[in-house]
Amino acid sequence: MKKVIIISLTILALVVSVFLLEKTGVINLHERSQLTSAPNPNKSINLDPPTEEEKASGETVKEEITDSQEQKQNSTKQQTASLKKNATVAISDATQYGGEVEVRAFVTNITENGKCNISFTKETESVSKQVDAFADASTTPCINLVVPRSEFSQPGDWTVTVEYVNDTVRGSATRGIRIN
Amino acid sequence: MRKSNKPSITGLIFITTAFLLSTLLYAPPATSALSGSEFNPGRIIDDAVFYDNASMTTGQIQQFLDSKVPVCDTNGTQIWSGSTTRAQRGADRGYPPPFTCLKDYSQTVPAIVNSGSNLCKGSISAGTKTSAQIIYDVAQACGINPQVLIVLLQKEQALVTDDWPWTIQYRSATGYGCPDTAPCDAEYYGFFNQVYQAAKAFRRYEANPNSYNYKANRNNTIYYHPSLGACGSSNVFIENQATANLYIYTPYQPNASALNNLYGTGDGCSAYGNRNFWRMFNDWFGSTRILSGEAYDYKIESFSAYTDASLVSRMTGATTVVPGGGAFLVLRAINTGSHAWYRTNTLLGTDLDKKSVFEEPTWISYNRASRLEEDVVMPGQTGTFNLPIEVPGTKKVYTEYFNIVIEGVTWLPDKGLYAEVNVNDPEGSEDPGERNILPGQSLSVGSAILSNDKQTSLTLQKDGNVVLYVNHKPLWSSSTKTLKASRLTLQHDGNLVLYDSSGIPLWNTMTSGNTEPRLTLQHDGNLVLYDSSGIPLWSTMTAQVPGSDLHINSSARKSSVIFPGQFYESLDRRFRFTYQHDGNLVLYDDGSPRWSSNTHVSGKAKNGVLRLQKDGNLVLYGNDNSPLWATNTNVGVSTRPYMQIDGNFVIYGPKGKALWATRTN
Repeated sequence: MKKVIIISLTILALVVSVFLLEKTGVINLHERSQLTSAPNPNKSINLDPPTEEEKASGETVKEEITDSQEQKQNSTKQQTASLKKNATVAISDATQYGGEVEVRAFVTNITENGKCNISFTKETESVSKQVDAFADASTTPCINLVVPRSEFSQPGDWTVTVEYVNDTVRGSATRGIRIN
Repeated sequence: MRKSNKPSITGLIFITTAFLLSTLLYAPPATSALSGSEFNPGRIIDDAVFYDNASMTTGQIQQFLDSKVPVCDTNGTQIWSGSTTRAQRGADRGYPPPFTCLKDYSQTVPAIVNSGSNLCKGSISAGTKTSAQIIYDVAQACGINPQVLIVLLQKEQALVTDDWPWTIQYRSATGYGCPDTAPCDAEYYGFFNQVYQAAKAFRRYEANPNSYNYKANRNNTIYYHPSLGACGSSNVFIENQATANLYIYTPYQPNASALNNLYGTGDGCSAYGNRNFWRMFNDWFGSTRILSGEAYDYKIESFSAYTDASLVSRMTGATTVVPGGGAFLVLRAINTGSHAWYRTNTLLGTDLDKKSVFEEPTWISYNRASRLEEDVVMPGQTGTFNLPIEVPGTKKVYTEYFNIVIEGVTWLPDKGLYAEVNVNDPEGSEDPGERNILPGQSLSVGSAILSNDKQTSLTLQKDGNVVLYVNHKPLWSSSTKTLKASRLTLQHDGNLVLYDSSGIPLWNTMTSGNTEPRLTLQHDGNLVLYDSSGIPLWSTMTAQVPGSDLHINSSARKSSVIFPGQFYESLDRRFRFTYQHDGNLVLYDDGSPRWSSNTHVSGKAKNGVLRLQKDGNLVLYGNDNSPLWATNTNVGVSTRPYMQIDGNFVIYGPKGKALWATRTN
């Protein structure tokens, strides 16, 4: 009987040791067992019939087409009274990276070729640049502007303004930029 | 009885043990339903998935499209609303039936001819093609996953599942040239045009990362909705190019409301393009992440062999290396596990830790060939292992299996990665022969002559072409391919003539009338026919002029001879140990001298040789054959000079022991 208890206690001690090692992350039984598991089953192609939501998506697209047709008719009627169209400009980054100041921006609602005027101002100081903009899939990105830090007369909080303007559209966006 | 009512000590131990074991072995089951909380705005899809153009065949694409529209309502007979049929509704909006579903769609496609310099590097043949074929062809030509294109067609126009699509949906099928708040650009109308333009755009974004509004590996302000100011933005660190591609194409991220209702609508500030892309891809094709679910795993992106350390001359077909020679293998592996790889402990090892037949002095040990090149390779990224090998001197085919090991942690799952190298003479020649062909001597089919530095070879190939190779690159040929050449003979009359088996001349140098000529394959890469007085009569004009010096590997082979103008170059091309034309040996760091032997002063080393002797010594001999400089590494056995990427030029002896170095690391 004593012998059985000793053997059982030894087994328990071993299991407790493994348990503690696993829980403290010294060993990882689950990870090792995964190394021999089968390839990821998620990569199979779903050949099930379309879901109700998927079937309905065609109707949503057709509604958008219809709405767009109606908007077009309305805008044609109002066209005579319109002034310059609004260009919506978004700045996606304006940051100093080491010795260079980088600005990335785009016009969200137009696809055409043009120019982006970018100006940095701080009190009476200013730095002005112009870069090309071009028609892309659904927007008009301004080519990334990179300005050497040396062109900024002083460190501190500056304001950067990106403007897109031509004969028919105009728009701008502004944000702060820290120059070190 | 009492005893039986009390649990025994052994019983308690058993129960405790069983409980602990079950806790140890139990792992919570994975959940399969997709949740908006899993959407990572900085990493919508992995590069390895986005650019995987081998994910589906044309047949699989067709099968998939068929499954998503079991019955196409071609004639619009189903009710649209009330008593109005789809046919009536379509006609009312200008799009009458028949309605052609994507699975049945076909169109005439123009020929697109691309080359390696184009954004899409593959060409597309003209013809009438199904939508499945178009998707496949564009995916192959542009190197984009066809599943990405399928999801794009669904997210933009619901074309995959629509059972009564209007023609306008094909006209702007991928939304290319369609701003959110303005009409689409007519220049890009048409199904094929749309699919091709979208795929090409993704390649353009990758090729011009500084021309677009979103950039990988940078913080980006990404708005939630076209109403920029009203709906706001957040700062997103875009982790890879594929995710940047999606944002450039569709410039908004889903807000919390859109993610909370993943299969429905959010609020007035929700945009759905990139959410839907991610959701549809997951639902139809599995995870957008390359991860396999393992802690450590990988997928082989490429495993290539090169003749030179600069990785310019890629070996195609069987990897053949001269006895005792070397080659450079490059493994590119995608980390598909959930754990990052670190350069400190991620190595390429030999199968079963055995001593490799390809071991060479720069290896970490006899069973650890190389270390991960990158400092860190995160899950989904690609890691590189540069693997110089040295083959045995005995001609036969050798095979060595390799695998990636995280030293001290685990081996990665075995992918059966192996290198098979045929150790034989170069370019199929049976006898390398001498560097000269003398009058009356011939070169037979399949044989070659080698220059004395073994960098240049002249071979009469089995295809009938006589080709001059410099460092395995063909620089000249007789342009007699497909003609049944039998022998290249240097005649006593001075003419070098290529004959067929019946003695009909196929090509010649037109230099007859010069007795006792000599044809020499020079170490400068030129093949020259001299007359008896040493005047050149004809040459292949392939001499490598100073400035375009012959390239020597980063590691010279046994008994190599280096001539003025040649150099050892580090794998990254940054460092060069050069034997200059002025006789000086100079180690350059990106063009700046770091070390020199000062052997140019006497002028004797101008036309000498730098010889790696069989006794292990690297000796510079002058033009009078007198030794001018040496590393004094004559240990009696062969040694190996190596221009390391740390800037140190080292002579390694047996067991990889460094015997001499420029100490410029």
